[in-house]
Amino acid sequence: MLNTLTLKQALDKLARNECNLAEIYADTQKQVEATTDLNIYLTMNEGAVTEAQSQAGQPLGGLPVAVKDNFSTKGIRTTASSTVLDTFVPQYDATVTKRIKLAGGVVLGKTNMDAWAHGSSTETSQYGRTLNPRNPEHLPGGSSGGSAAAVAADTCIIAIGSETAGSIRQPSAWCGTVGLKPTYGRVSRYGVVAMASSTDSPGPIGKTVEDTAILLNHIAGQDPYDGTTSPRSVEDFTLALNQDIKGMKIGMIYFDKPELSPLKAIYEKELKVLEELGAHVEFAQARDPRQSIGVYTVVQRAEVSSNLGRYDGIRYGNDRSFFGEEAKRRIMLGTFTLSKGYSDQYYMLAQKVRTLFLQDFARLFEKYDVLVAPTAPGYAKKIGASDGSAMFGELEDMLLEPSSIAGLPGINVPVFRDGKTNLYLGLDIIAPMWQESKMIQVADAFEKNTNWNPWRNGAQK
Amino acid sequence: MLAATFAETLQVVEELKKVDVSGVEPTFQVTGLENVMREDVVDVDRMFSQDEALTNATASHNGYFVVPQIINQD
Repeated sequence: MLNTLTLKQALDKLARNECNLAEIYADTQKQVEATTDLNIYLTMNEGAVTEAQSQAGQPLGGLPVAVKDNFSTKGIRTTASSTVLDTFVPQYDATVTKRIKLAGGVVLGKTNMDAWAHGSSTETSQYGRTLNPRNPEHLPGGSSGGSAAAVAADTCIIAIGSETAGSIRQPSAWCGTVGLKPTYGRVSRYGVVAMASSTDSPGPIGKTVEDTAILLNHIAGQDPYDGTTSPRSVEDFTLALNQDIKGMKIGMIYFDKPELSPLKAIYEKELKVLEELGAHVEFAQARDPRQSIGVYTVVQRAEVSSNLGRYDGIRYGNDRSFFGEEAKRRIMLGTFTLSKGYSDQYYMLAQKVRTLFLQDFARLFEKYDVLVAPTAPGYAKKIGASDGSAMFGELEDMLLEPSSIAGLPGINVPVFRDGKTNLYLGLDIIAPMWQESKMIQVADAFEKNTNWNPWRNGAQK
Repeated sequence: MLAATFAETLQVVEELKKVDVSGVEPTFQVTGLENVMREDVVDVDRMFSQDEALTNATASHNGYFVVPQIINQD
């Protein structure tokens, strides 16, 4: 079963000629076919195996990468899970897609998501919801639910997702995968179906911390096609692996929230390992994340109402009558909060409260190297959970919205698995801007000194 | 249905009004970058031929996009 290999394991095996790409693709294909009930992929790349052969020997080895359906893929249909784009076949690649190909990765297929990335469940997809591979009675989370499920179900070697406020980390928590949300501006948004342009951040979803660090190396860095990408040079993120965390200062935030009290004991127990490794771990007081819901809701709706204005069905795609209910709701609310007389009351106010969150993180990072928190307030919800709740995603992503509106990087690692339901809890490790290496260092140490990662030998099954 | 969910959403947003923001500047973006320019040169990687540009159009005529009529429509 070569489809269960991590990216690092697959690259090593290929280098030692212990297996070949044809075998890896055959096993992966078998698994894709065996898991069609989960509704993970919307479109497969029919040319994947052929492309892989020409990429052999490249840094990403010709290995199969699952790509969220909001990334433009030249010649492969790209819908963002909305029937507005049902017939859209991009004439160009997103920068992330292009860089993956240049590094020798192959787009295996396009994964399901919440339509336009509006949601945290995949239930707003106009192509049906994805089911959680760990327990199909439950949701995978979202919006990158298809990519997280693709990894969890071993239907690819690694995947790409995008996060605006939780959309990489939350589905990774629910599916028991590693999800890395880079600093805003670290990875290009060019060719990504825009959601909230001031927080959209593409990033890897993989089986291990190491795998996400490897893929981040290939997609990060300034892009002349996206003026918000940073001109600063990009370090080798794999250098942060296998490093001592002795002496690092780690602040545990959000554990004082009453809704988290059932989980507090589990996290406290699991985080003890960080202390055993020599880090200083203590509770820290952060600004109430509930206020970030309002900030994110206003900013996101406002930016959505502007970004979705281009879908007129003339140059590509279908017309506006194809928008689903959630998209319509967000466009209308965004237009309302930006309208004359209301923009000061809502939009400006939200952007000011956003500043308070930035200041709060600056204060915390004077004292701590990284912050840790639960990724989500609980386990994956049951299918149908988001029905009729306009604020489902915002409440599920409450703990991720503060770092998202502040542009900070964060990484989810599995922290616990419930033996009865087979569902996972996630740990979110947040670092200051541009310091992904610090969170990778802590995440890698945590992963290697616990048995919660499902792909580790001796994982707690 | 939509009206009810608007109210639900705005209720959450109303919470912001309890926050003291006197003297606080708004944050519209977090990178600190300003007026990012690029060289004024033709980038052939980003050029479409007319045929390519029209590949996704619902309707085209003589190399143009066809736009639905929206005025004087009886």
